[in-house]
Amino acid sequence: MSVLFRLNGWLVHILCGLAVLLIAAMVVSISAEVILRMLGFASIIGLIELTEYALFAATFFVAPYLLRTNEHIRVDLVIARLDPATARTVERGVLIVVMAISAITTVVATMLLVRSYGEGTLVFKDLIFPQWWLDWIIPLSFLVLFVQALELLIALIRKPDAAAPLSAEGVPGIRPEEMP
Amino acid sequence: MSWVSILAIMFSAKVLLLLAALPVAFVFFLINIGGSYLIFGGLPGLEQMVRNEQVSVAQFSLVPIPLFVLMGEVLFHTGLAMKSVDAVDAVIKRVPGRLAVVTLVAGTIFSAISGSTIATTAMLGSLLLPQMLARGYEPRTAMGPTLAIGGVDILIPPSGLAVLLGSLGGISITGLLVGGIVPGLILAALFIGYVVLRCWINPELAPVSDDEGVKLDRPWLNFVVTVAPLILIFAVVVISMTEGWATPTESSALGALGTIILAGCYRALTLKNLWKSFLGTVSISGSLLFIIVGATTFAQLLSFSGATAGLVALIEEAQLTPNVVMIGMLAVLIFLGFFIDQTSIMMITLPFYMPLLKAMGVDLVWFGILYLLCMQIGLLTPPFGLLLFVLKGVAPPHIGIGMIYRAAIPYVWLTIAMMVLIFLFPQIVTSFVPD
Repeated sequence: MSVLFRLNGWLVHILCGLAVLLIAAMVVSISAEVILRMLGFASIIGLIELTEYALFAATFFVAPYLLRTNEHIRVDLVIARLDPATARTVERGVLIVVMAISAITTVVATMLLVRSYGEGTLVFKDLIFPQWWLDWIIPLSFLVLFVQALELLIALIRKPDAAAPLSAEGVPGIRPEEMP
Repeated sequence: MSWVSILAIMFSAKVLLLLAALPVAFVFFLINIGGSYLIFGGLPGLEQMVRNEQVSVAQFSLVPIPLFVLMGEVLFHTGLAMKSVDAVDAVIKRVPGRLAVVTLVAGTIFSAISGSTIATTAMLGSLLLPQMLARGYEPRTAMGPTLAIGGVDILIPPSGLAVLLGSLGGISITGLLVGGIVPGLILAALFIGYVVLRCWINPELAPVSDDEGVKLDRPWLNFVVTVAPLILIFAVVVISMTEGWATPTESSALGALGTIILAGCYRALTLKNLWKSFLGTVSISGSLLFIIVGATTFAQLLSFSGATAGLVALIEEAQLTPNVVMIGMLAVLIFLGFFIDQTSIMMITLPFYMPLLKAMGVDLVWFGILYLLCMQIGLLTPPFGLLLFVLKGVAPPHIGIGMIYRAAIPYVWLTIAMMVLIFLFPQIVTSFVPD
């Protein structure tokens, strides 16, 4: 199990790194498009469409990382007022629900992926390409989310004295050591 | 099942799951799975849900959200934001509540180049709050301005939430971004006036220290050198939109690239802090966009079940005057802001609000600014005021969340006063919006 979690941990970070690269590519390519247009060159064909797919991919790629670092937005109004034992129980329930959602979405999204691959479905916009080039993103992200939630759940069960993580403990996007 | 029952079930399930601390995006996903299966019809319904998730965030109009956040993150992680705070600190002297005023002025300048409300509050809170507390400022006087000015960030472009509202509501994004500038500046001036007046009446709230701030040889020259380039980037972003040279998305990319180049020119850019800026960007914008992924199907379920049309028809049949309907809408937004995050509020209310507003012939940019002010109040009100948590994260451990709640109250009232002003005098917004 620990090997699976270690591999998944790498995957979480690789996907997050890809999300960063996609955002960086957006900055460079859209700026280049504007500057080239101002200089009288033609627009880059398919750039808008590619940017849209990049935003979609970046959103899903970073989701497992946000679960790992407890940065998904959540309301901890009630859980913060519970005694530690009850809070841990609630946190376990939360992780089980996240696993259930991830499992269902992975299965349904994989069915869509297999179908679009089998039928050779194409996306027709500015760019023409097989639908499955987009369809693998959701199943992979939710599969990684499932394993990440399982890892957190097992860690919580194995350390019964540890306090349940609360979103109010940190600032989204900024680590405590990064404060001025 | 009637639309009333579906509406009641979906909303009560949402509230219960939110209170159980399930992440907001997953609250939507869970309700969507049940709703899609029952309302859209079994497995095809679930497949439709997954297809919706794919297209929900694949929108060019949403791209400015991460790019505006990136501008703020670069300023924060490269230390340029701290330099600009020092520059403001060095030129503001002999004002009652000096450091609180510095917070508000620096926050307003920072708002003009940061699309990250969180970065603004975190930066000012971690930098100036300890100084104010150490110099004997009454804690609420020290914390209030930090919280309040973070909210102003929503109004002054670049603003991620304004982009989101424009994109989801079909309102001109350029109109919202430009229309927010004057109200944002008036609100900042109101906050400064309030702080100065309170500290002038009761000097014990902010004791005058022997140390009158950062000492620089030529403070005004340093102010110009540090702050002018930031204002220039703000001007590039706004003028490129208003003059029609670039779309809001393109302006955001230019702004982000300009901020990175500026950090390079100041020799403040390293690979490490650039990486941190991008990581912060994907974290903040990812958590926001993932909620949109879930909320899109939620809004479709409401529409498909007849709840959206039913509720809109109910309000139309009541034959209320447009002003009463709008005041009711704004009151609902403020109420929801107590319990739900800003993205979810937009996803839930806009399907109901937009048809009604269009039917009433309301100026959408004007209402959009009022809408954003309600979102700002939501950031400052317990229990789900995100900025309250951000400040708790950076405040010294002895500062309790209850004290932070109380610090925000006067600024919530001032924001409501600003809303009344805009409601009575729409020209505050409409006069400055380009055709």
